[in-house]
Amino acid sequence: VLFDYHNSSIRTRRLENGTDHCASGGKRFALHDLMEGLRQPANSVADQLVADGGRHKYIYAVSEDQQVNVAVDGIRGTPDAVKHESLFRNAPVLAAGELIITQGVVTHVNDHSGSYRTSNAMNDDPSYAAVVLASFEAEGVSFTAEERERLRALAER
Amino acid sequence: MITQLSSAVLEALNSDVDEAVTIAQGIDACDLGLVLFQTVAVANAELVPVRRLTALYFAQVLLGRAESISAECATAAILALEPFLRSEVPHERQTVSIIAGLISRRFERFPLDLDESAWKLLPRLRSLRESLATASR
Repeated sequence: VLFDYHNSSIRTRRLENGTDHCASGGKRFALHDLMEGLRQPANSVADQLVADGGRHKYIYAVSEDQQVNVAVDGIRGTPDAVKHESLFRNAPVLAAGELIITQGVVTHVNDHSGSYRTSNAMNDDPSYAAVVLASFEAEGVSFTAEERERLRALAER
Repeated sequence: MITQLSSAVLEALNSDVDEAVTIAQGIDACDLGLVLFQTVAVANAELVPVRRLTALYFAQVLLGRAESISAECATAAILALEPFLRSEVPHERQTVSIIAGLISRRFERFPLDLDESAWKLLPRLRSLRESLATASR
């Protein structure tokens, strides 16, 4: 099931308030490029990371063709902040949420996105976790054993 | 307590939907069921589309802590969702479908805990998802 933001009343209100970030000029990355950047600290992608003892928190979205884009979460309403709707320029998505990468390994993925209203969708629909697992792994992501098992269990209910 | 609960719902309604998770986390577990019912009831009565959708999403977020929600409050919330079976807004239908799915999972092991009328309504609310692929395009 696709999650739509573009046609929602929430976007309409944000447009009125000037807090829609569809056209944000902030940095966003393909997940594959981010993982490569983490493996090569001199890579320009790595320069965009928010360092916290090797632990980084990002927002992500999975497009209809299962591409994954990520960014450092911005503050809504501030110039060039990147929010979930920025990741695919308002296009509908299969999944969205937050991920934590520690030392180049994904340690946690969730489904928290107000824009796409996906919170708890992972607990409701097994296909949500399946999409996250498949699309992340297709991008060359490594999970911790615990996190991969958690996602797999959710996907196979 | 009622004033406190109303404040939580009101805060969610008047916030950007991004804030729903934070607000939901701040609600005491023992109040959760009542807030869920109250939120759905507010969504049902709300005339402004964005506030209606925000309230529904807030209920969806609350259900992440569903272990704390009683059968009585879940029953009340489910029955309050019935009018959304006729909603023509795809986003509302999707959110209601997820809420129904989450409640189903919470009570699937203990179906007798729910009022019978609510238990019968759940599959109808759940099936709203089936029309989404077409409606969202």
